[in-house]
This record gives sequence, C-alpha cells and structure tokens, in this order.
Amino acid sequence: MFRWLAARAASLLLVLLTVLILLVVVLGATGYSDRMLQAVIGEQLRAMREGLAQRIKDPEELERALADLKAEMERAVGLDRPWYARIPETVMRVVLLDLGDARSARSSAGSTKVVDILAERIPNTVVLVTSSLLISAVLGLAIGAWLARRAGSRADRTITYASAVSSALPSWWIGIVLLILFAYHLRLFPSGGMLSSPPPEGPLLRTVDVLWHAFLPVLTLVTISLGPSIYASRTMLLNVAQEDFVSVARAKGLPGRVVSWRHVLRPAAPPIVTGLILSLPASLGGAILTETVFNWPGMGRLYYNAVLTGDEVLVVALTYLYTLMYVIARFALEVIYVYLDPRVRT
Amino acid sequence: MSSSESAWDVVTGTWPGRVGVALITLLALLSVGVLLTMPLDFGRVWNDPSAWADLPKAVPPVWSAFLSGVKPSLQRELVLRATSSGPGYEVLESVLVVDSDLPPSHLVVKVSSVSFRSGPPAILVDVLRPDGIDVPIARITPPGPRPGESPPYVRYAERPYRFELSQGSEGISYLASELSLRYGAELKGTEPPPDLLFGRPDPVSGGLEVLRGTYLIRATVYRSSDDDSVGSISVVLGGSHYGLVGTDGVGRDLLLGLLYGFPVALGIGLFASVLVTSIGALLGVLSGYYRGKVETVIQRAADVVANVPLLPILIFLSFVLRPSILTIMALLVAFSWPGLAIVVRSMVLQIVPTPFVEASRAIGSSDLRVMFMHVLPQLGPYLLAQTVFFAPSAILAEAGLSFLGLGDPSIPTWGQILELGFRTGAVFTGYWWWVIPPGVLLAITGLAFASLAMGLEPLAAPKLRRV
Repeated sequence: MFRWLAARAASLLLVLLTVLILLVVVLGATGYSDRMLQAVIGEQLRAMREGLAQRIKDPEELERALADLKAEMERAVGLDRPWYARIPETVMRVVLLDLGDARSARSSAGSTKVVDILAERIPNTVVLVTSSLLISAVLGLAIGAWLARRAGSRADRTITYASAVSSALPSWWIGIVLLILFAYHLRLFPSGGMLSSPPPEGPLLRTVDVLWHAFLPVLTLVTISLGPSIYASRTMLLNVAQEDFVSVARAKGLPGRVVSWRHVLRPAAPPIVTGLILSLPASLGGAILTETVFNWPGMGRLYYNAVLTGDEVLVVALTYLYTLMYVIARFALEVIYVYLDPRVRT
Repeated sequence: MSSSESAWDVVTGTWPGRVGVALITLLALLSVGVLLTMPLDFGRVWNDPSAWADLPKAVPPVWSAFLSGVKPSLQRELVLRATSSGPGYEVLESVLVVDSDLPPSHLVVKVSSVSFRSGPPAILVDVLRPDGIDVPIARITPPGPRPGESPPYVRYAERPYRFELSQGSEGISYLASELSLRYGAELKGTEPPPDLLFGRPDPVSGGLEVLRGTYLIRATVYRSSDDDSVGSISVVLGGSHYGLVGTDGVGRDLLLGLLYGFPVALGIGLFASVLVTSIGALLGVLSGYYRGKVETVIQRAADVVANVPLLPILIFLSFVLRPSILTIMALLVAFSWPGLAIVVRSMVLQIVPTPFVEASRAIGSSDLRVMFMHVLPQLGPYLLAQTVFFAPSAILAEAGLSFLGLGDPSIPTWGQILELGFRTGAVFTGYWWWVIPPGVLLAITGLAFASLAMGLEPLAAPKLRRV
C-alpha cells in the first residue's frame, strides 16, 4: 500500500515540479523574471535612499553609494547572471511564495505582501470547492443509485444523457443566468461577495450571511460536478449489480438493503472515487470562473483581478498554488481510494 | 442488428445521435453561410467603434419590446431632400411620423461631401414639432480654407461629419423652458435630449411622455456661392430597441458578433480536437507497439502532463505570452493529449498480439505499415468519437480564457462578448440580451458535439451495441 501511495506521491510531486519549471522557464525566457526582480530592487532602493541621504550629504557620493548598493543587490538576487542560471533559486522563491509585493491587490489588513494576500484568500476558495464537491458527490451517489435501480427507464435515459452532456456546457455561465434571475430580477440573493456590508453582528448571523452569499456560487459549482458524479455512480453501480456475487447474495435471501450496501455499494466505491478524481480539474477550473462571476473573495477572483491589472507576481503565485491545491486534493483522493480498495492495500 | 447496418444508421439510431447530427448540421450550415456572406476580417470592423457610431448603445432586441407590450422606436436614417431654394440658400426637409411609446435613443445629424469656393456654407437644422414648437438643434459650419489650400475646398468627403444632439446643444434649454411654460411643468433641461425633443410633460406622472404626431426635420443651407454644394444631409434616429439580439455598450450589433462566432467556435473545436486526437493516438500507438523505453517515456510523461491543472496553466501562459487564437489552441493541445495516449496504448496492446497483425509481420511488413494499415484502422471509430468528444472542451477552454480577459482580441468570440457584457456590469444592469445569447450558443454547440459523441459510442465500442 505504501509503495503504491509513494509512487503516486512521486508522480504528483513530479507534476508540481514540472509546473514550477515551466513557470520559471517561461518567465525567464520572456524577460518577465528580470523585470520582476528589478522592480523589487527599485522599490528597496527608493526606501533606502532617504536614510542614505541623511548620512551622505554630497549628491555625487550619494549616487555612487546607491549604484554600489544596486549592484550588490543585483548580485544578491542573481541579476548579474542569465535567467537560466537562476532557475533553482527562482523555483525556491515561487515554492516559498517569496515573491515580494503585489502591484495593486491588498490584504484586508492593507498588506501588499503576496503571502499575506494569498493567506486570506485560500480558505475562501477551499470552502467553496470542497463544499460543492461534497454536495455533488453525495447527490450524485443518491441519484446514481436511484437511476441504477431503474436502468433503461425513461427517467434513467433522460438524466443519464443530461449528466453525460453537462460537462460540455459552460456551467460557470449558469452563474450569470442565476445572478440575473435571482439577484437582479427577484432580489432574493446578493449579487456577489461573501459578506453584506456592513457585516452583521454576532457569529450566528455572520454564518447565516456567508451561507446566503455562498448559495448561488455553490449551486453553480454543483452543476459543474454533479453530472459526471451521477454518471460515474450510475454506471459503476449498474456494472457491479450485474456481477454474479450480487445474484448469489440475492439468491441467499439477504435483505435488499444489505445487498445494496454490502455487495453493490462497497465494491463500486473505488471507481466512484476515481470519477471524483477525474472531475477535480473541471471543478477547480470552474471555481476560478465561478468566483469571478460571483465576486467571491477567493483565489479565482484574485486571478481575474491580477490578469486585469497585469499583476504578474500574483499570476505566478496563483498558478503555482492552484497546481499545489490540485496535487494535494488528488493525493487525498488517492488515499481514500487505497482505503476503499482492498486490492491495492495489500 | 444486421451486419449491413451502416455507420449512419447506428448514429441516427439513438436519440442523442439524432440530436447531435441535427445540431451539428445546423451549426455547419450557419458557419458556411457566415463565411460566405461576412467579411473574413470582420474582427477589424468589430473593433472599430466608428463603424457602430450610429447604433444605439446597450439596447435590448426589438422583439422584447413587443413582449412587454411597448411600441419601440425603431432605428432609422432619414435623408433630407431639397424642397425649395432661393438666392444664397437651399432648404432640405424630411417628414418624421412618431407613433412609438418610447423616444429614440439618440439623434445624429450627418453631413457629407461639402464643397465650397470662398467661404464655407452654414447649415442650420431645426425640428418643427406637431405642437408647433420650432426647435433649432444644430448649426454646422465646415472649417474654412487652410493656408496653402486651393479651391474648391472639399470637406467631410471621406467620412461624414457627425453632430450628436446633447444636453449642451443649442435649442435644448430653449425647448425645456418652452415646454415648461406651455404645459405648466418643471423641466430642468437635464432630461435626455431625445426625450425632450420628441416628448411633452406627462401631467399624471410628472415625467416626459412621447408626443405622437408628424415632425418636420428641416435643414437650411446658406451658401456664399451658387457653385457650393452639400453632398447629403441625413438624420439618424437611434432605436430604443435594436435588431434580433440588441446591441452592446459600443453600439455593436450583437447579432453580427454572435453569427461570426459560429465558424470561429466550430473552427476552434475542430482544429484543437483533430490535433489532440492525432497527437494522442500517435503517441499511444507508438508506446503500445514498441513497448520498452519508448513506452516508459511516453506513458510517464502522459501521467505527469495529465495531472497538470489545465485552466491555471492556460491562464498563466496566455497572460505572459499574449498569444493569438492559434497559439491558444496549440497550448491547449499540448496539455490535453495524455488521456488519449494512455487509452490508445492499452487498446494497441490488445490488437498487436492478434493473428492478422502477426501474419502481416510474418510476411515482412514494416513497422510503419503494420501501425498505419493494421493497428490504426481498428481504432478509427474510437478516435472519431474522441475527436467529436474533445471539441467542446476546446471551445469551452477558449470561452473560459476569454471570460477572464485573455482571449485573442483580433477575433470576436462568444466568450469575449460574454466577458465584455459581464465587465460592463450586465449582472447589475440586467443586460440579459448581452450575456444570455452567447452562453446559450456555447451550450448548444457543446450539446451538439457531446450528443454526437454519444451517438458515435456504439460505433466506437461495438460490444456495447444493444441487439
């Protein structure tokens, strides 16, 4: 089991490394990384200039001191070497999110540090994605099981068709339709954001307020992953239900519920998790667009704003973080898979 | 099922197949029609605001007015015709009958090709309302001779001079006070000028209502010489509603943008999916046929690339490289081949040991011949289904990128129209006609390809065919 998990972990780490190298190489080859570092140095020099100006009165000497400082700093960050010689350091900077300041985004406390901004955005995205994935997993299993029992019926054919084609539809656009309908015309839900302004007092009211704001975005995200979830559950349950051991269990006279839980659901569980694994990238991508639509203060909305304002530091950090998030979620599902499938557990 | 059953019968034998074939045919016909009738460089027209200056900005489609029981004011352009002339002047007129519930969205006077010998002519435009108020709305004088220029002086020949009625226009404040006096209402003159020009105070609501009746639009041209001429004078009245889909914030006819999106979307889908299928199938066949190191390298690479989250990487690369639509597609393909390479490899593993492949090898067929003549044809139906299946992912990926503002600006796509509508605040202003239709078209296209792929499934996996 551990060998198997270790192999998966190695493969996923390789994914992370590939993405990191891709990021760094593209940034380096296009000259972006040089400009980013120069901006950081320029910022620091401006800050130091005043301090120096108090000690050194001669303007020429001051300029010389500043030029020395600049050269020293450029050497320190490696700007005196070509970009490909700096790849390992740059990879480390991205990994540690040591990327300096965002251009225009701010954390709620007013910090411009990339780390601070991201730290308060990550939980918002995680809450949105995990809750919608959980909802669609549970709903998908329930509807899938219901359909599997009616395989071939009109309801089965219709819903199976609908869930199979749903991945080809622009689900995030449904968010826009929901907004126009429920926020603009009916005024039942807020048109975006995560909290009313001013936010209500007290933890209970605050939670209710967040849930009220989260309803439409979660609904949109569920429509993205529900279809594949239903389709996978139904097909897997149907496949298992046709196995001989299920017929034997029925022939033995076991109660229907025991057969469903122990003989059908149990062996179908691992492939259903595989279905979840496969729908993960679509959910993450959908979350970026859905957050943008609903102005949800997560990483996706930050991505949109960073692209709009040309904030390359944030775009790099977010691309890395999304890959990291995907890799972690993927690994968590692999662990669940190992737990559910006795064949790989030996 | 009989063996003579053709591929066509299999695909059209299921409902998804029928829906898919019907929709794809419709999309293809529309695309061909668009390619034949619209200019190929429509992107340039689309991005040129002066091409859309006459159209009203962000107005809903005409049919929506009838749905809500309102008689809309339609877009029209009246060319003023000469009715009388005298020494040094000429009068051009046009009659306008207003019987709509809504006033025009804007009024533009257009003057083109003025030519004069000494001093420029002066053009005075006024509107005679049904209630007898005569409102002067414009006084247009082309610029006089420039130093070094010799007569005849020609002005506004390449593009007409445009005068748009605005709050500061002459006559509007006069009209406001005249209306206040006559109808006993309080008008400030800050009301939209067309509402004032074609309206009167409504005693019940206190606002302005449309004054129905016959208006006379009149231009008087004062010339300094009889040789001076004015090419044409026309008045554009912007519709309160426009066309089949309405207009966007620049005044662009959304119908044209959406129509142009058909060949673009189909092109994106087919180009990317054919490329992905070719690359994925080739790498899959190579790794399944040669095994050994080739297989290890390709399959390890596939395992890694398959796990790269697509949208973030595409966002990053589009952001840094600002690519054209073809490059976007190439990037999409570069990260989408692994799934197919993995499946095709396992299929090839089952085909290679079969007797006919062995026989072909035994009589000395080259590896290439075996791969392309014996292995690949067996995968044909599956690959076809995969090509169709992948098309909507490519279209949606482009739409997603465009929605984040990373599309190729030289070619309008449904995603870009959606993005501009969203960024203009469609959700807060209720511009449904701007954001709903492009999404519906994306959905229909996705549905078409997905349904066709489902219809092709029995061909791709014959064992699943129900007898």
